[in-house]
Amino acid sequence: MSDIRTIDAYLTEVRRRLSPLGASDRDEALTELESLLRVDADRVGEAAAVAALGDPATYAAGVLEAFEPDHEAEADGRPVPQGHVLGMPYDFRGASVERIGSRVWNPADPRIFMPRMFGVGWTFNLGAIAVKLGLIRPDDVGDESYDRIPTGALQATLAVPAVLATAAVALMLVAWPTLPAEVPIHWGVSGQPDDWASRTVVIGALLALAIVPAALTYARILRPQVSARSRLLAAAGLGMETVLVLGIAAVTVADANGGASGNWILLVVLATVVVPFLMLYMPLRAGLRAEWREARTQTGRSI
Amino acid sequence: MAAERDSRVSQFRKGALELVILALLDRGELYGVEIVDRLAERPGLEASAGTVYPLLSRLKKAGVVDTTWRESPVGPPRKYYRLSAAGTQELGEMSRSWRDIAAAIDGLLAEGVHHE
Repeated sequence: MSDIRTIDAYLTEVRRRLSPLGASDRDEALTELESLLRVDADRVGEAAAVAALGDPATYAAGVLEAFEPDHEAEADGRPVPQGHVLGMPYDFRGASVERIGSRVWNPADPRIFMPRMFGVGWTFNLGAIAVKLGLIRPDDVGDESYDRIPTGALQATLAVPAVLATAAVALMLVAWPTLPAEVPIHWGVSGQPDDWASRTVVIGALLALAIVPAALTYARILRPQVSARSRLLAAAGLGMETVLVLGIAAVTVADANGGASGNWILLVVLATVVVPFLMLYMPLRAGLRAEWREARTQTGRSI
Repeated sequence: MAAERDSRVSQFRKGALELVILALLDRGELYGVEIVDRLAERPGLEASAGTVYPLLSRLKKAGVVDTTWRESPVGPPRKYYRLSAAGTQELGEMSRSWRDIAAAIDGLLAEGVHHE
């Protein structure tokens, strides 16, 4: 620490150690620290100001502790967004399996609206919905339930996003000749399109969205050492994404052929909830039943 | 002010809930709904299912509690929670810390009374 004599070097050291914090919290803490150091440096000089604060590691640890509640919450499985903008949570850290586990399928947590995994706004906690519907109890599905999912059920579920992505690609390739040069990309509340873009751009983007995330996800989860839990949660996240792409492609094609209306959009939104819900609930229900059967045979008739 | 006090009291209680649940399970295994009900029977220790279940799931992950499925006379099997060996040790350590802190704070508060 004695070799750190400049404010910039000190800030770099502290920033490196604040990586567990969200970007907004980290920037806020660093801005505050920098202004503190600059004021002090004007009085006693840069080196003395830096020396007065002590070891950057200790300083960073203090900052992390001040933000503790969020870290504790994350450890408890209660999701914490990266930050807030205009009161809405945002998160651009990408959908990790842990984040899907704590936000999209977290039956222990009764909140239905969770900070969204990627982007701005909220996402549904499908686990809480299953509890509210009376399908499962909050603690029915544990980590061990994932390992009890019958192989066939797991494989069938993992195939769902591939089927959806393939359907989306096939639909767009088949419908390409029927599309006008400009296709709608945004619809008003009444279901009428109010913004258009070139079909090459729109279909190109949709094809990329159908293929790239699916390829990346499958390459990651089909490696042999990946757990059933990681596979299922990642596949459900991918299922949500691919059903949305398929839905948008279907609406675009239907609209060009004179068939789309507001109800279509509603249907697509509904599908982005129902498809991942079934992808999680059906196999986990089977895993849970397998756990119960196992418990019955282990303890004989008394259980 | 009252709302602020309530939130501080609930912070206290939340911090102590882990100890409370371990102490309940020390008397024998319980399933989730029973744990929530037992807490509700003790004024001051009530906690919602939305607080208890995430905590139980964390205790399970930490290896402090073990679970077993047992047949229920009504409906599907129930998941029973009990202390693991690590949980019993954790309970001992936490109750010692709790008593030390409580005694220290009580002492401090008692001193304060003389000044008033």
